[in-house]
Amino acid sequence: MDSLTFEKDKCTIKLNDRFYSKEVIEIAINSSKENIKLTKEGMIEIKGKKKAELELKARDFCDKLLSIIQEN
Amino acid sequence: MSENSILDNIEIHKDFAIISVNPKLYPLSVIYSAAYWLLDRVHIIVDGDPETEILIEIRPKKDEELDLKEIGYEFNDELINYSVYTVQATRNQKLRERIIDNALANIEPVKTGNMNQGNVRCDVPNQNQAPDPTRFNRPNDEQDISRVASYRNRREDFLKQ
Repeated sequence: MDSLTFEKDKCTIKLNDRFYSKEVIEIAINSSKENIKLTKEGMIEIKGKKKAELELKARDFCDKLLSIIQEN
Repeated sequence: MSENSILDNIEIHKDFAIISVNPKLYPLSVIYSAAYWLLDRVHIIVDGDPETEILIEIRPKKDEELDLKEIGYEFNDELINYSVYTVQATRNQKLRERIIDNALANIEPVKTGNMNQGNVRCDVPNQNQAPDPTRFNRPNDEQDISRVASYRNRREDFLKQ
């Protein structure tokens, strides 16, 4: 499962929209303090410098999505 | 479950594991609940096809040494756990609703507002009854004064004898 893609200064998360709805992603982005945005293609972009930090932020964001799904 | 089991649904990789779940056996809500249970120890991403096969990627959080196989088995246990809970909750739903209805029916409504306007507080018993007339008599009211005077007179009469 290659959900995370790393580029120079950003990480792109491509999630299955049948499990993670756009509404849930928007709730998570709005409540997040990080520099995260949802692209028109439905991908999530997180800006950052170090790959390790980006990966941690991305995986934490995915966990947050699961929490929102479960708690709502 | 041994590693050679044909029912083994856990695929171990170097840094992560993939657990496959049959959505015909476990509804998506149960899968989310089981995944949520593990969130404090592993990062989770859900993928696959909700009609045929759901894939759960589990990856240890940083600085955590975990046996991913064990976590996978725990996930399987939680699937059964939440399935049983869901079935029982559905079976007992009407009974729970009746218990709650009965409990709510026995509660008197709480009236709020100014106490001087005849409102009633549910936490003060017997507030509609008239107060005990002897309870609030002051020590220097007329009744007590005449009682004390009478006692003094009788005492003086006794001492004179």
